[in-house]
Amino acid sequence: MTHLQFKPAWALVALIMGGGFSFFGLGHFFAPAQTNFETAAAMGAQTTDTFGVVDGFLIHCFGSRNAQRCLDGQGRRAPKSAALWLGNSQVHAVNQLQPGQVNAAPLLFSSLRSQGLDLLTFSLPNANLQEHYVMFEYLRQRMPLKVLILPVCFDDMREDGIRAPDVADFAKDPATISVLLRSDIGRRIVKNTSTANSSDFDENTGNETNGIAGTIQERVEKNLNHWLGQHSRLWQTRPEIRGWLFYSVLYPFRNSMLGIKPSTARKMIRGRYSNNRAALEETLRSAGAAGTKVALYIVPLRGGDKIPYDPVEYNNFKLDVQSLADRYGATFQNMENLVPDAAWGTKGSTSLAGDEEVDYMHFSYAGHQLLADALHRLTMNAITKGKQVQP
Amino acid sequence: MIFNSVTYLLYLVLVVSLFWVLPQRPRLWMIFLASLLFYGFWRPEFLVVMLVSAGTDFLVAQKMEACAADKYRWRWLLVSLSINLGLLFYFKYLFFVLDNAVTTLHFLGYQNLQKPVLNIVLPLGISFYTFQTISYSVDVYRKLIPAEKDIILYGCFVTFFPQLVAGPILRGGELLGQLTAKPSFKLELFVSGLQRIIFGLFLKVVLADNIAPLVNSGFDQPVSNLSALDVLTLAFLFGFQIYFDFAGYSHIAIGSARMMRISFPENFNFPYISSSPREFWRRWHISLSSWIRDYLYLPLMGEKVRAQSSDGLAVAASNAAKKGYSPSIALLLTWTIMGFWHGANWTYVMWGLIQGILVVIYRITAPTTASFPLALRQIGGWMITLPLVMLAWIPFRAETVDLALGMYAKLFSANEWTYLGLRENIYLVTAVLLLLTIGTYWVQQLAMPRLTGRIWASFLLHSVVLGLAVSLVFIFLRPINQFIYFQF
Repeated sequence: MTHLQFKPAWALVALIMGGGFSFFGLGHFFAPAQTNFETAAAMGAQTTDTFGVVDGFLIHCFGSRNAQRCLDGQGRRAPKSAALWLGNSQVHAVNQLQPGQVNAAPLLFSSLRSQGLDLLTFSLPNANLQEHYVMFEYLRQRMPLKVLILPVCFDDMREDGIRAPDVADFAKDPATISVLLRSDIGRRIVKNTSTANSSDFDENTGNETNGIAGTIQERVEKNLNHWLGQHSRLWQTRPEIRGWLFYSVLYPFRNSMLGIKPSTARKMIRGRYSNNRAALEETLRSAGAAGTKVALYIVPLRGGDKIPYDPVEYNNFKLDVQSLADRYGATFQNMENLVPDAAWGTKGSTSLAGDEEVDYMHFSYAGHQLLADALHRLTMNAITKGKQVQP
Repeated sequence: MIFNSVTYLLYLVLVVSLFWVLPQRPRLWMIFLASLLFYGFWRPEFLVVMLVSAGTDFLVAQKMEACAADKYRWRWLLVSLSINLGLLFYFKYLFFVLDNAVTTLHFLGYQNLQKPVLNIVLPLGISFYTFQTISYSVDVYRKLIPAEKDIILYGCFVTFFPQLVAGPILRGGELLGQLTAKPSFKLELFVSGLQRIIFGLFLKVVLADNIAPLVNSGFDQPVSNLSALDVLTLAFLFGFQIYFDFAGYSHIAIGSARMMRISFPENFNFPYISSSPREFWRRWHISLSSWIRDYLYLPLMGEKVRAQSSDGLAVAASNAAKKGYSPSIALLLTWTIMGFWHGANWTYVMWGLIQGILVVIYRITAPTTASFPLALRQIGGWMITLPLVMLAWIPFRAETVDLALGMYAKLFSANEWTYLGLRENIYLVTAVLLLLTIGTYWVQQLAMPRLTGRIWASFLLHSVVLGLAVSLVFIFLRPINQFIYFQF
């Protein structure tokens, strides 16, 4: 930009023209949009989120932003004992959802209720076991918890960190912190989340003022943002545009350039795996100490020979989870083959090619029915027998 | 006030507008008050510390100028150094010194001593404005500049908002004259300033802030989880983050000043294409390198300074009868102090020492390699310098010396090169940034000069690049992170 070949007035025109076209383009493409591109990229357009409601209260939440609505409903129902199901998007997303259909959570809620057990479900896309550990420690202090239903997914062993605000807020609860501080992985979680200013999370702008937290400028900046958001739809849509850029441009671009497909084998990431394994171990240890039964399962996966993992690593992972379950007395089931091929669907393209792709993680209503039935049996088994269920 | 915010952009529009409509004296008052407002937006109570530091040097300089005898001038300089360095010591180093003293006494058997508990907040930019006011006093002592009599003008020099918090570190001779000159509006400089701000914001909010989570996720891992390639990747990635972050800040500072027709020296010049450690420090944080040279390295060498260095590192001193340290010792001392200037932690001392060792090794080996062909020296030098400079960033980012040493140890174990411990995207992003950084340099060196005379091609390129930068800055502009150098 230092080599000006023309008069400065033209440089100003170049700036105005470039900027003008950019704003026109952004305004044209994005002002009407309000899409969560992260969710869309993770699940595909053919998969729909559903969160069940019973008697006007949520029975299925995603994190701190709506947790109280779930807890209030349970408080109103006043059960003697309850189950907590933590999960990833497989729990709340239904492929090819039809009117009147639901996911497994309300189905399991109904079946467990008939056995005198209330159920709350919490699920986040790509939730890792460190997040589940935090959620468990926070929620178990607020409900009459008898059983923890915990899925373990190889994909999510590749994730790391605690998301703000949905889980980070739980990790800032003093009572939860005191429990987390008893383990190495818990201390690491507390340390890493203490710097995130998630309590100031804004629905529209996120934690966008972390760099000036606690200063006079923070108040001014928030007011300016608010004002700009009120007067400019484009300004308000900036988080969605960022999501679009990452998940609809850079993510497919990367996949196209490197030839990554849903069927491409994902390798284990050693550091992340060991963090999540440590979190799982602490969850099992803590549940055992609190007298909470644990129903642990390997999540259903689209079957066949083409699993998107390294077979050796995946087998070792399953053996590892089973050995932890045995060590801490959890009731374990490998449900990887639970859902037949017919109940799985496809999803939109994750590359620039635009072709439909196989969805390895999210199944249809029929799959959710099978999952709810299997989890009912696993939960009952955890309560009554405390034994391992054979697949 | 942080640059990467709507507040700053609004503030800048107001200040620049007032600058061009007000007459000389009110303009100086406006700059001074606007700069105090800029600083007070962070923690207003620390304005007092800054004003004490600045006021001390204003008075000391008057006294020095009034003294004929060098002996008395020297005493006044000591007063200035004591107060400035005393403030810096209290706010930045007291806890560190006490903590280390107690640890040492524990080691010697005095176990009953308690670790100190001090609640001292580091005033924003104290290391920068302290250096600036010290340089002013030293320059007056050396009779390089006269003591400034106008306290508002002097106040503007110390507090001038574009450079107040993180530089570039300016000398009195560089800024005072420009503040007193009657400015005439020049569209070219105004537009160029605007472009620098856009480019700086792009580096900060689009690149640095989006690299930060990747770097954090890597450095948050226990060392046992990282492979040797992970260590190398994280070193490069942090190297890019801090470059984009700090160069972004400098671009915005230079651009903001230029819109008021005030010229700042350049602070960065493609540091990662350097073919030697010495060249790296002529391209990285140039204003600090030249400050350290003029006010620390040359005095340690026993050189007598005759004039300020103008381009940062030009020779500006000589003393045949010098009585000082040898160049290598002076270099190591200088770099250790420079590392400590960055922060009260042994990790920064380690970083400074590594930089000093690299420069000393280069000085020793340079005569041997001087006979090599130029292309070999440049390409070979770059291939050696880049990874070394990047790896040297590890203690700068690591929280403890143990962690930094643990990361370095990975590099020397064959088994640690056989696996990957980070998410695939981190390697990919690092590789892309490396290519982009080199590519940008070559585009500027080779492609841009070829556009000479092709006005429409040049115009189109400017429109597209600026349009893209403006839209990305619009999308990503938010004060989600401070600038890394704010903590120093």
